[in-house]
Amino acid sequence: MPEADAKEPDPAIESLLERVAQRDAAAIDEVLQHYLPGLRGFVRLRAGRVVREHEASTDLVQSVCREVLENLQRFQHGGAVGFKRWLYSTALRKIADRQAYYQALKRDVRREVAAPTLEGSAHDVLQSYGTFCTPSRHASAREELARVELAFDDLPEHYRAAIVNVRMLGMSHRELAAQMGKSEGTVRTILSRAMAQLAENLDRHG
Amino acid sequence: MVEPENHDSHRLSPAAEAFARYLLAYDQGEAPPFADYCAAHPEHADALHRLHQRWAEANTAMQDFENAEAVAPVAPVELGVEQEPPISLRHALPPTADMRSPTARYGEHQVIARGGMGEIQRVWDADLRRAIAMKVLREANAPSHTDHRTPHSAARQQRRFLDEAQITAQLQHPGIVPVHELGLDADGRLYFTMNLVRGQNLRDVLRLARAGEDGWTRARVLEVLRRVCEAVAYAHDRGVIHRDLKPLNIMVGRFGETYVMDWGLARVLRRDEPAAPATGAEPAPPDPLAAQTLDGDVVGTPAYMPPEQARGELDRVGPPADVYAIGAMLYELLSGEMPYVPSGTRTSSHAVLERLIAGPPEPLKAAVDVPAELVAICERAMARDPQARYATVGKLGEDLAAFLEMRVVRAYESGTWAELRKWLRRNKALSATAALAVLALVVGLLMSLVQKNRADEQSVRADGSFKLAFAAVDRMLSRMGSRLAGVPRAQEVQRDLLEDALEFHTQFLATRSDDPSLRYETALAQLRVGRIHAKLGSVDRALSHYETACQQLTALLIDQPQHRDAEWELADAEHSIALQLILRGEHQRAIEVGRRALVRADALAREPGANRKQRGTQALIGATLGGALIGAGNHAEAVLVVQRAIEQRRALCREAPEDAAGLRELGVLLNMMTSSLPREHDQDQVEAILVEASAVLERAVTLDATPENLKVAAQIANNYAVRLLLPAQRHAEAELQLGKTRDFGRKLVEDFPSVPAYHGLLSGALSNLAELRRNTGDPEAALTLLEEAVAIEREAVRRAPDVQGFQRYLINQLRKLGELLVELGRIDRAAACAEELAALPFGDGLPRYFAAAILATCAVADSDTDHTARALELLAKSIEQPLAQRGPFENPAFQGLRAHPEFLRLEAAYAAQAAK
Repeated sequence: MPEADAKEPDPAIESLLERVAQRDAAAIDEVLQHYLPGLRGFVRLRAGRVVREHEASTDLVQSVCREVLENLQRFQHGGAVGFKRWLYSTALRKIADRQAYYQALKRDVRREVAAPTLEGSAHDVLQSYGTFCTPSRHASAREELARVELAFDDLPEHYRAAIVNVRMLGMSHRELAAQMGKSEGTVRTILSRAMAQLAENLDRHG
Repeated sequence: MVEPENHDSHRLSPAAEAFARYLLAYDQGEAPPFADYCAAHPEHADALHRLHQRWAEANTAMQDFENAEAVAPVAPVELGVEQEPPISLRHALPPTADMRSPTARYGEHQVIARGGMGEIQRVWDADLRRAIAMKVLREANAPSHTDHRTPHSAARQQRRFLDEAQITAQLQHPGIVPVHELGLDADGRLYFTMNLVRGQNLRDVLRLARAGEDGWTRARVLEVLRRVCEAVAYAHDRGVIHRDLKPLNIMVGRFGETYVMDWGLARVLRRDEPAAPATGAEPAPPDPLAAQTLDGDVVGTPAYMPPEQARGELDRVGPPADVYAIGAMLYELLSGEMPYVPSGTRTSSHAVLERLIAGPPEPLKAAVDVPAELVAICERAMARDPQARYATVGKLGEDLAAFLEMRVVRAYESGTWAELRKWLRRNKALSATAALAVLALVVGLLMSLVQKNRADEQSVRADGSFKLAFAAVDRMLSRMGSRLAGVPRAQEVQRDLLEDALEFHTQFLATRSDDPSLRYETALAQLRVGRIHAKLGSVDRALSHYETACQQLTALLIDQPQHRDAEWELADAEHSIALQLILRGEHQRAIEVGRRALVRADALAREPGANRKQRGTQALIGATLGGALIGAGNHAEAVLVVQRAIEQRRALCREAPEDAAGLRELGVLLNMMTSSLPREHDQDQVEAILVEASAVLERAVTLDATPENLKVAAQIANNYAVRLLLPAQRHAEAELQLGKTRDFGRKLVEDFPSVPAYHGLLSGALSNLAELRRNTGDPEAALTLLEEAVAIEREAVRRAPDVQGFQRYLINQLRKLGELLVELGRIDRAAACAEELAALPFGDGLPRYFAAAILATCAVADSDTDHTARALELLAKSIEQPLAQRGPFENPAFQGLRAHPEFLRLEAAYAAQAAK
């Protein structure tokens, strides 16, 4: 698994972000457009089943974008990785708020949820995941989507966090280790085990 | 290989544990070949293989997820390398050496479509356990019965087939079906596999939309076209032009998923090739492809082809060709027929081609149900000059989206005026103040538009813009009028607006009614003027304009018998006449005209092109005829007519269960049914109908609490009480229903003080509540209620002096009030009430007759001879005109006059008159 932050920074994005730091409205739009597909997929995956079945992921994404725009003056140019982390951590906070909200509902909403079906909203979800699936996977995208989400939902929280931080937010193992207060070796182990468990979950849902 | 340090509390299964160890080693670059690892763990070998496969899937998903940020989502050619390769074609056959025999993997071949180049099969992919589609090129040396191919053309087809597979595979978009695999089958035929799309093609969808079936509406099809634009815009962005867009090549899934299929004629632009070639380029010699497109059913019909493509000017066929084709599909949606192919005719491809080269198709009409914005979008997309079309397919998609979201359509209009207009339409829940301010501005701007058109008459008429402007202003006025009907306290502005509209149409009639090219518009203007007068409460004027419209439409139909819109308008005009006649109490004439309208609408609705709105008009005409029949006392026929209209309306409600106005009409019809049924009809059945009507209206009000919906809900509650609960002495329930009517009525009168019908509704509820109080022994309460009812009914009559219904109610309520006042011993007030009745300028002799009866009872109560004399005087006056009252002299109210010589004389004179 390649280290995400080993990638070369994209000069076009870097220059856009510099303009964002200077409060250039057109650049902000462009940057958000650039990150939108990834953000949609991220929100959908990270929202978990409870939130996902009560709220359209597009609403959450919109809410994230709005907050980012509102707080743009706080944005310090820290490159694409920094912006992406800021965007995704805003999304994570939103999701956590929503999860807390649904948990606090009198009736545990998880009880009222039947087996997840994608029939009704499959099209919207497919739109969000338009680029998530490879052509061959796209073939049975509806089922595939459900499988990936369910498999991800069933992971323990620290596994999900590890995968998301490294694979989506682009953290290095070292950074994650610092965040988790563990050694880099432990983090690598956790990540391997998380991926193995994800594979097993996928196999079970398949 | 390192052993992991395990500080993880989560327990994995033994196989997953083994796999995690492998992954850790892999991550650190120390993993042995996977096969060796499995061999070293034979107890988990199977599980490890499965987990490895799943891990690869998950990993690819993650990888793709990261790549999702790329603006153009193109699959990287090498894992881990982010790049966006251009679309490229390699005309080499795929290698077969490392391929398994396809028969090993694909089974259950079933042909689902055949074309000139080959066939599409549905096959079962045994490896991945799924059904997919396989497109197979006809065997190179096996000509079919339609085959005229030379070796050269066979090679060209092979090349084209490869192109299609490679282009489609490299276009990754939710609107383009993904290609999985390209290869040679066991018979040496080229094939590629792709997703099996479950759904129907756009041709079938267009047919369903025309018939208003299966939930397909114009808006839904527009959404499909918008998605087509998205997919095609993406392809253009990647340098690929489809060149064969047509309804058969668009597949629509159950959930509206839209796929652009069949990229067999697609062309990849060279990198240095401009996306939109300049006009004026020398036409290139016809490309063999032009012939190929006409060969067999590869293309089918050239109806969707732009002129430059039809002429074979292949160097000019760029992205604007796809813009044109989408425009042609829009044309078909709006007109119900393919461009150059009149519906119901069989036209050869060659003939279509000739017509296409000769000139544009039959222009679209901006009719009542074809918004001018859509006509403008279509005309721009189908412009004969590629440069006059939308610059990109994306722009066309934006205009379609703008129309669907009720924003400004660029092809049609722009500027502040248009933005304002659309803004107003979008913001349904405007506060009254904001609405008024904006409206004042809009109306002013609108009128200046009319003036501008007048000044520039010749030029605007020449290009047909005048008709568009007319249609736009016409629609604008009627929509804003109906929008304002729902804005509390905006009635004065609504009236102003109606008067402005009246002026607009009147000016139009004054200046253009003799223009033969505007005959239809002229008749429409007459209809609109009629409607405006009807809304302003002038029944006679409304009738006069409706009648003129009828004459003009009839004359137009003699010359143009196929003008379906004109015929529907005629049915609607007749229907409007019948309604006004009912208001005037001329039920027999209303029945005659209503029957004529219904026969016409029935015939039109049987034609395949009739849409939901028109079938709604048909049901509405049935309702009006039913109303006229009830008014004339012909209950037996009314039951049949109303029953039929109920069935029609029910069917429409099933098709569009969220249509609040449709539900309201169903409620009106059900309510009407109870009025048609004889008094002695089974009460349980009547109650069942009323309960259904109440439920239907409750749903309509929940969906959309418009004043009209509230009014009908209140009418049903009122009828429930009067028709059923009061006669059955179910007082508590009657009180509940009447209370509901009163509350709804009061709210409506407060919000819309200038609408007479709402006054009538409230007055009726109060009057019926008074009746209830009187029956339950509380005449004082009844008196208070009745006095308020009379005051409100007076207001209704003042506001709508021509409506007979309000006049009749006022007469009845004054009579009831007079009788109650006598009963309570308030003789002076009773006499005043009688005088008010006597002075009413309508109702023939009836109000005088009732006044006489009240005064006669007054005379008995206080032995006042003045009352006696006045009663006799009024009685004499009342019988000068025919009285609907049976046995007028037997009325117990006249008990005290029976011995009076004048009374005896009048009775004898009346009997003599009746005998004549």
